[in-house]
Amino acid sequence: MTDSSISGSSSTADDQYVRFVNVKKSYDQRNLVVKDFNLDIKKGEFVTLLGPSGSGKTTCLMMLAGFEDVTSGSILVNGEPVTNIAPYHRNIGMVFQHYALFPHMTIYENLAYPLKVRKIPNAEIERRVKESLALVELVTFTKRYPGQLSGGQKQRVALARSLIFEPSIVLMDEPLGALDKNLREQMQFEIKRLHEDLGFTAIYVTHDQTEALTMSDRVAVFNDGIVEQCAAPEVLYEQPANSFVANFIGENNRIPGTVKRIENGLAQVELIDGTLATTGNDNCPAEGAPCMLTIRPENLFIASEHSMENSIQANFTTRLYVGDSIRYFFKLNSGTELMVKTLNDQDAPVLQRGAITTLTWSTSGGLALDRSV
Amino acid sequence: MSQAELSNDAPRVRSTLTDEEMAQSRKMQRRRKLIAFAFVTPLLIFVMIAFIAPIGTMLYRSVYHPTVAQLIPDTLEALSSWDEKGDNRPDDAVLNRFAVELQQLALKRKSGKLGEEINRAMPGTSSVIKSTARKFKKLDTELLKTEGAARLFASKPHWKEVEIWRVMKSSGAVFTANSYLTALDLDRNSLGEIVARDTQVYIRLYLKSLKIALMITFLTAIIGFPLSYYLATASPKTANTLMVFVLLPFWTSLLVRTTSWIALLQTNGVVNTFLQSIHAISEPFEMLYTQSATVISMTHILLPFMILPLYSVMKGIDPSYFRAAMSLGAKPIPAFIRIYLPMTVPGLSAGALLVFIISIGYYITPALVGGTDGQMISNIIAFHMQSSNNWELAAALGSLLLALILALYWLYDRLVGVSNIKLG
Repeated sequence: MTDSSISGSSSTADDQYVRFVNVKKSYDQRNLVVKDFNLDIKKGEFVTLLGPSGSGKTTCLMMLAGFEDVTSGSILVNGEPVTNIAPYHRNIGMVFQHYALFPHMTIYENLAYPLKVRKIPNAEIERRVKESLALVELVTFTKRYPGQLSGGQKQRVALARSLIFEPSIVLMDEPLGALDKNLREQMQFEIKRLHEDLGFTAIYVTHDQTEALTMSDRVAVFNDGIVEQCAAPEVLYEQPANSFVANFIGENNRIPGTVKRIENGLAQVELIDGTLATTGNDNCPAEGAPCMLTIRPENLFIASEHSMENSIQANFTTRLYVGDSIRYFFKLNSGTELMVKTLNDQDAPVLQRGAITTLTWSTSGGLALDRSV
Repeated sequence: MSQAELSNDAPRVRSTLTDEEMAQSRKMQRRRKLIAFAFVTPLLIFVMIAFIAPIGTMLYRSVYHPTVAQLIPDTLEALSSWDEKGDNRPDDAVLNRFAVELQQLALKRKSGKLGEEINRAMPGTSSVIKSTARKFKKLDTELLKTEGAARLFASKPHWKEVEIWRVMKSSGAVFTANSYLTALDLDRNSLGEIVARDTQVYIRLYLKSLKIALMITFLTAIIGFPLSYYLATASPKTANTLMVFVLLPFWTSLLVRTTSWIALLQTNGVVNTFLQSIHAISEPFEMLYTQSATVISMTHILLPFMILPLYSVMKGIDPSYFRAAMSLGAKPIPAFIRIYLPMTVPGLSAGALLVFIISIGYYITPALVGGTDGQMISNIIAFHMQSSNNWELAAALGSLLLALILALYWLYDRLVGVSNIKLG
């Protein structure tokens, strides 16, 4: 289910700067790794392909870069099909997970390489390498070898190298996967800044959902060769198209149930223990169909004096002290486990193990989705 | 207490060890070293006995030559005051002493040995010494003490020449570089100056060995590189199957492999028969007992030594380097030369060094398939060990080979860097 259907000639060329049209890929001539991939990317957009490993996201990137052939369908850049263009003529920048900085060349030589193969005069090369290093704040590093740099510095050089020949599209294949958490956040910021400054079209592959949500204009969620949903981060999080997306992005409480009735934009769901609940009806299965009620842990509350539209009884099992927040774990009689996330403030309740507690959530706090996953 | 006050106080925890702790930790470290040493001791003893000691003896033997000094000590003592650079032969008194010593040698049946030794430096003297010794056997010792010189001249006129005494004196030196001079195709003239020999034997052989070793190294690299690349990029299943074929020669006896090349290359061998049967040639090629036979069979035998390090290095090269180069705009062949090739240098140099060092001292294959043309330096060393009984020369040739390899290794280290080697 994709948000961006292939619209006709009405959209401008910039809206369809990069197009994947019915792209399929098979490695063994039998099974499809990518099944009918369609995506339009605007010029200057930051799109992330997010999905579990083996879901086909890297394959899509490699097909665009030209390192894998397209089994069927076509990829267009600026209206021109690129399927038959050699990778070295595509003029697409690429950042690899393990940097792929040439270990036998200095940083200067690494950055100069793409310019040298383009036969740019030496003086010009020197100027652009300097500029480029200034951009990633590594001006003094020209004579060093990649082996003498830290992970974050290497990644910045790799980024600079992929940008130095001024490609209009930059592909990034899990570029921060090898960095530790702090450095990763810093680099996310750095990439975002460069994207905003230089205005290139970025296609980013990651399996880290936080990274995808914080950096992207749009995120395409991959699963098993298909795109489950492609939308802006807040849409993905708040209005997931199906339970795979709901489950993959962020944490979720999932209670199985059946759709009783849909009316006035609301769906009534009978949960597995007989409780009735009301939710919004976006992406809700048809009346009478089995469904999965999903509630984000921050939308579920431990009922005190005020309670909301929906409530359910649960046994408290344990709590996890995270620091700024506390996670409370509950178990329904049916065995389903629920989690409540609250701020660690003075209102955080103290519960006895096994205490029967009422949990409550609002109509907009839960979503009835398909029960496929 | 504020932070500043705290830091002004004496440190609450020492950051260095106390003397006692230091002694304790030193003791522990010594113990660890001792245990580690104990593990390698058996090997060390083995290497000392089986490797270091023989090499040492060999090196010593190449300069230590006591035979003549033991045969005619008295004469040599007398000769020490004689000026061999002059035109006069030694005094008759010296000659008398020699005559006495020669008689004693003759009686002990050792005069032949002396003849052999002197003959090596001055061909033709062996018969002079032997026949004189035969005649002296019957003479009275007292007579020789006074008339020895005259008796020598009477026996053979050669004793009047200055040259023979010069040779006698120089052969008497216990430590001599003569073997090395011979090994380098040099000689001493009558004045003791080092001059080149008329016929170059050993230098040419060294050069030929070098040439053959370089050819083999080059061929193994040319053949091994694409194969290793294919192995490194193929699927694990294919790579493993093919690897068995690479390793198969290792599990076959060297002699069998060399002999099979004889079967292939000989005049009525497989190759000639095949070429004749398809009428490509009318007369059989002479392939066996040539230099090319040595090169071909040794290339085959040493190929795994090139493939294995190359393969292991190529296996470790992330394919994304090549992809990165292409995405940066480099065409495949320039990208290969500028990016991929330099990354394989550790494997390539390890393989080349292995193949080169093994092949320059190779013995069995050149001996079996090389004929006269395909002989290498090690075959001549073996010849001097086994047939001509000139161990000093064999030792000198071997030492020079060792020196040559060390020199090339040093050169290699300067050019490529030994730290670049990667065997796996």
